[in-house]
Amino acid sequence: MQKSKNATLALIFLILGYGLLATFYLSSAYNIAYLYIINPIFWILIAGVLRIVLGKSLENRKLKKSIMEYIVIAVLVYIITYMVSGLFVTFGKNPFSTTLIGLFTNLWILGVEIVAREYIRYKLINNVYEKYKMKIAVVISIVYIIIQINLGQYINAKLTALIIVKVVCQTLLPLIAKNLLFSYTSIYCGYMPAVIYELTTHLYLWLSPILPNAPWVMSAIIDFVIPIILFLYIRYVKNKLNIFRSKENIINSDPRNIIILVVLIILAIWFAVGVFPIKPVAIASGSMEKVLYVGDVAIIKKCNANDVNEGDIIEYQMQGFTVVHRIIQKSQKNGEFYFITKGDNNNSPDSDEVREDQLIGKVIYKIKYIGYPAIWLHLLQEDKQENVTVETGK
Amino acid sequence: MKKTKRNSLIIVLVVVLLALAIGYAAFSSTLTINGNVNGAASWDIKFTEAKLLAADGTTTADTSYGTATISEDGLTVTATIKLSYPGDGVILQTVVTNNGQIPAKLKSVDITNPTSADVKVTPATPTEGEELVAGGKCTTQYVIKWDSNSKATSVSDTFKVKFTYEQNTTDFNGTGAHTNA
Repeated sequence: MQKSKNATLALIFLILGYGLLATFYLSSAYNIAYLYIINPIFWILIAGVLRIVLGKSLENRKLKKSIMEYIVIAVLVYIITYMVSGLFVTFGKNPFSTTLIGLFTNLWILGVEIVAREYIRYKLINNVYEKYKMKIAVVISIVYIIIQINLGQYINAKLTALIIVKVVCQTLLPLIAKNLLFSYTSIYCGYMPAVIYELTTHLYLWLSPILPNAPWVMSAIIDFVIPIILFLYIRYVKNKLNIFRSKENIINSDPRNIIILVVLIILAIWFAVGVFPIKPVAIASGSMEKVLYVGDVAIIKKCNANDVNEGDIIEYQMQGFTVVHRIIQKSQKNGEFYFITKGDNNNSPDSDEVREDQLIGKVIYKIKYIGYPAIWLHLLQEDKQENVTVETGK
Repeated sequence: MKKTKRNSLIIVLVVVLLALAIGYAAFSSTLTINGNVNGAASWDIKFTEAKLLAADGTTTADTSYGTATISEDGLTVTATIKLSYPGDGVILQTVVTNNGQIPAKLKSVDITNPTSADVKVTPATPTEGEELVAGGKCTTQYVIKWDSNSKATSVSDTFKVKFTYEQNTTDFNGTGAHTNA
């Protein structure tokens, strides 16, 4: 078939139409039939038609080999990062069925879509002339993001600022990063790099008996940063192999300059949000004065109820905020620990008992003054949300 | 990166991965394992609603009855209940939603009852093995009542519920959630 921009766009919009129909109607109306029959058959059908009509496309073999090696490295780094992250948080049992039947089921209901989707992306991007390839790559990336983001779950949902941030960081940004990478590799070296990256990272999730209970910030950063760094590396390799390359162009696209900086920023974010066994918290009230002053940062060591005693200063969770106060009494009812807490500078104990599941950790160290920026940011946020009162543990 | 360096890096990473896998297996008894993981790709099942209702099971209860909160990971609901007199009660309603792509079945229900013997909880708990299809919701109500014969002068207590789901691969003809929506 002759290369055709219009036919390609028509097929992309057919996929968009199917994706929206599936999200808002098919998945709920024909739940099981959709999952096991309609969806896999749709993707196989489109991929099969494109295979027959368009035939084989030419690829840059030298570039493809290099890219495949980078993909293997990225997948290994992805899996190792996830496995190591479990040592900082905790592990949980894998909810996926890790039996042989479970594996085949997941390969059919999710794996088939992954392979066909990437094959279709590759075929459609390469079905237009060189000058249109980037535009088609952008359009198909946007369509794939729309159909993978599962818009249905946000209809009638109560969208708070935190939920929107979570959706953007946990779902949208990783999808943008992966689609950017997969569309780029589709242009220059076929569909296999995308299939291998997507399928092997999923296989780890489907087959590992235990997985890290990673906080959403941790998994969001891993899922976003690895494809982005991989994309930058592949772009660099592609520029290096380009016979019309300029030296300046290669230096500008060398991602090694930013990788160390990115890794340091990621570690700092993970520390700040409490991914590691110790975490910082800025003190925003004077209730613990003589020990902790406004603007100090308390370093909290995460622990459970057995590890804290009367006299320890603990951080505990209240609805929408946390409090750093001292334990004045520890008791046990029905196998569960309860604490009565008090701010050193307060006249009376806190009104509510603290349950053991509210305990975050105990203060092991303090750093003076460095918490002010966090407090100013918090106050700015309060000004913007006049209706929301944030108590800071007076 | 040169080809030899790339190949060396792949070998090193494979060795690290194998060492980690062996380490996991060897120290599996000392690793802290908490329930099932949530939020992995294609798997997203959590409490999406928790509220206290009046006796009719539909009207929202007065705020003086306490609060029902969902944990940050969405896997546990904790209700802090304050009842005013013997015979007083409130209904805790929870909704679990399967926002993932694959059907799940209920593996276990863990309930932490109130510590006070004067508070009785009557759950309409879904049975273990019950299927929750992709996009489905499971609504459950718990009646929490201060015993009419109690001699206590006031009741303030907590009640926790945790559902654990796993992938359902054996039975595709389940009856769906408690309440389909």
